Amino acid sequence: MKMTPSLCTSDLLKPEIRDACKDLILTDEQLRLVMERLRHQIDRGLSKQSHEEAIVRCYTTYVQDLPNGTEKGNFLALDLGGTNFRVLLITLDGQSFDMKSKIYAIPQSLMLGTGRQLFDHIAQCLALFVKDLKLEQEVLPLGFTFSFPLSQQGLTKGLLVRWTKGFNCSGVVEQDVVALLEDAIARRNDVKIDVCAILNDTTGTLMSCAWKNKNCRVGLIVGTGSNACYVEKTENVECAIPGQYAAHKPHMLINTEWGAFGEQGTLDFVLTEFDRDIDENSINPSKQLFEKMISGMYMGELARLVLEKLTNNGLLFNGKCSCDLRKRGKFFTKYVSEIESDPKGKYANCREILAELGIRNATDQDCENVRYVCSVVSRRAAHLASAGIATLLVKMGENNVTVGVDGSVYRFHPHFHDLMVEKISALQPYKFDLMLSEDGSGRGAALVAAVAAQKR
Amino acid sequence: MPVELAPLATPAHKAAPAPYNGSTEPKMNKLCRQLSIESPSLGGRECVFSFDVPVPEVPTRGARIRVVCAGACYHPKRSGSLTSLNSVSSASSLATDVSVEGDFPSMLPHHGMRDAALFPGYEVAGVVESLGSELTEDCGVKLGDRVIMYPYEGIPNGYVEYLVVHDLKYLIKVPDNMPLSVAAMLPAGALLAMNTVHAAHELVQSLLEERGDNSVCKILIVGTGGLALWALRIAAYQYSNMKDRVTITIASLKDDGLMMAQEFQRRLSGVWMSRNLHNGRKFTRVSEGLRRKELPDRQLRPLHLFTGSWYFDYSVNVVQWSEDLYEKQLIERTMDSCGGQVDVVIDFGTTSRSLHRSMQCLGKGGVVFVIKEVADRLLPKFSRRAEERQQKIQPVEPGSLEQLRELVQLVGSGEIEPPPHTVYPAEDALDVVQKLCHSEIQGRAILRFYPAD
Repeated sequence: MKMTPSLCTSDLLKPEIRDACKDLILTDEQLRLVMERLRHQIDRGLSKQSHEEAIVRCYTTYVQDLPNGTEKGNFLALDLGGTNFRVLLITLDGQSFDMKSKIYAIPQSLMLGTGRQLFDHIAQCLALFVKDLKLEQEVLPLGFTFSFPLSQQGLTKGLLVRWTKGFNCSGVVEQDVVALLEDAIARRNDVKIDVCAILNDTTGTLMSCAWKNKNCRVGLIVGTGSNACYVEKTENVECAIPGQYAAHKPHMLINTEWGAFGEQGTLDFVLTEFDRDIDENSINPSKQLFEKMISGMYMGELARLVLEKLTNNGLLFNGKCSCDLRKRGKFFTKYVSEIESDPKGKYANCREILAELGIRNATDQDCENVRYVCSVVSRRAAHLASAGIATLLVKMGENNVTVGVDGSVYRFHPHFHDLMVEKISALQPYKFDLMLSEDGSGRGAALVAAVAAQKR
Repeated sequence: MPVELAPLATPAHKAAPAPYNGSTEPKMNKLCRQLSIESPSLGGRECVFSFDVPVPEVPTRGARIRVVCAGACYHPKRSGSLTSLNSVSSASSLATDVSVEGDFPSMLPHHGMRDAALFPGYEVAGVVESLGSELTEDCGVKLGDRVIMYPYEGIPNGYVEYLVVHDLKYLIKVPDNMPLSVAAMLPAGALLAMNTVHAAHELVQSLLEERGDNSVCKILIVGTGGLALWALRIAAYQYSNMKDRVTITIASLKDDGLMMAQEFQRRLSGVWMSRNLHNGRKFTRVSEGLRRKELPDRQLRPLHLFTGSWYFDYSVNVVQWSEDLYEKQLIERTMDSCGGQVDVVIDFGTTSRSLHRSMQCLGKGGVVFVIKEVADRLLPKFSRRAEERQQKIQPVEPGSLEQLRELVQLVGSGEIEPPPHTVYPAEDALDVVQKLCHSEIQGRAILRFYPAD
């Protein structure tokens, strides 16, 4: 069992730096208050009466069936979640599984262009992929993982609520993105793709994990963004549109969209000056505050802001540093993981990264303090994500729930898993497991399509 | 405590001196301009120097060139200086030395440096202005010839408006159809890229023979700066008859590298096939029918690429090495794009990080080729890792005079298309260098010393 790393107690740590970081360290009391407020918002999101004003909207996914291992056939997945997207073909035969995939880039110009251009590009790549596999004559069910805030109105109907992650295509907000994709495919008229479901990456993460572990009931993403989904009782899903779901089935997945938590002041009691700086300079000020405290898109910048302040106060690098440490966006989130991967007392990664930033005279004390800042930032992210998961586990009230997790921060940070297990255990009493979900947003989407196609 | 040196004053020197009449011997002690670009190790430090030097005497068996175009490269470090301004060079060297603090070697934080958009070299193209007194009429060079110079050991520390060459063998005539701005790219960037591809080619040949018929060799080219753009073109030419057996993937270090690769494909296909071009996707061949067409013999290729029926059909994968992604994600995507580990990496990145990635993408027994200057700096750190992985890190020297002659022919005949370049006045060199350091210039930057060819 891997030991959870304790806070650094090295005498290289300056008391002034510990003091400067104290607002980033959350007590269990604060975390329980986070849980309380999140639970309140989840209940408001589920309620038809208060859904429209809720901060955590708890969108209905219309997914009511989990995979059971009997799925068979060829299924496509389209995974659109950032500046790259993937197309996958998954062949299922009971418990056996085969996958082919291709990664495609979305240039900056398309991220900020028209929605039609974006979906034409996607359809083009889909068609090429299918033709490369010589499957253009086969009807292929497709699951569409769309990792942006979505108001779902059916398993195959979802309206984009707003763009995140640097996207800002025109003509897509409040439009049905399945229809946009189907129209783009139809304009080509050269492949037979049947869009069976639209889902977000948390749903896919849960489905992919559930295919291997029947206890999986929660999906969590901590990557470029952060979000969670969980299995709710159908009777509690008041916002599901009648006729679009099976009322007799006991469960439905809920996409919480918890990244929005914190709006309207609900997290002000834990926001720091660094969080406010990040928010004010983001493309969506005052939105996605919980996400901005947790996710990889912002973690590196958060650490950079702390380091910049400490340097300006003369506490790091003798008060001098390169222009790069003062530039927004120059301290990547992977730096946080790499710095914290250095063995205790070793600073090879830290020195390499500082050199990349133009700082070549860092002392061991500087490196230790840089690592401390990174650990404080990443630990807070892990603890906030833990508070969210603890809230869902308490709401479900079941033992032996598995949480399927994906996302670059969870996958690549050396301590994130252990930090979360420890904190979730401290915040709620139910037995649970965290399980890395393999290829959730790709395979999970194909599994959703497989289950949906089977039910038709 | 390191001594802080004041930056050298750059004299106002906007007006170019009047060109000499070729038939008139210049006066003694006439001055001309010398432009020196040092390695920009930190953005704030002065790295471009411009000062007046005496017009050099024509060697008795050499020639004097009036420089028209020069490639924007920085001056590689060397042990001794041959110019008459030793004090200035020493001052520059001292400034470079004192900037290194602690026990770490200088790193190159600028994005353009990481991408080798700015690289060490010496590239000039110009016009023969004077010939040595002991040369006879049959020496092969005459006044007014447009030439490039192979960068031999005798070159000065900077781009001097009047440049002497001590041996005519180092001069190569520029074909009439080649602009001097294109010619200026050849002696360092293109030549280094060619030598890298040649070195890789020896390995590719032996791998293909060893593996037998129908085997495939995979090459990854890292970077989208000037060197990588040349290497891509030269490799595509080298393997134009082996496209089913050699695959090329570009690891782009910036977003518009994708567009650059598309532009490359579009030009070489002669026709914009927008239906078949996709960012990050393997570029499709023009058509199935045309692919089966017999490719003409090398010697029979037409001189001009777009006037003949022949077309250049090579598909290139592009994968983007976005700096904000985790290293493992980049490796996964590169492996996906290459269809597994590669056999050869040509790495024009200049950082530990890019070399580390290259080695992770490289299979056992593979070789990664890097610029000698980069290899000198990184080999101490990476040699053990290479040994453990049974890989080799191969430094690449600038190429030979014969290779440069071959390059001039290939580019002149249109068999190799030069990358895009932009011409800037030499007076703007500092601004150009800063733009290159931040990768703001697509393709190569060429400095022009006179307004017209």
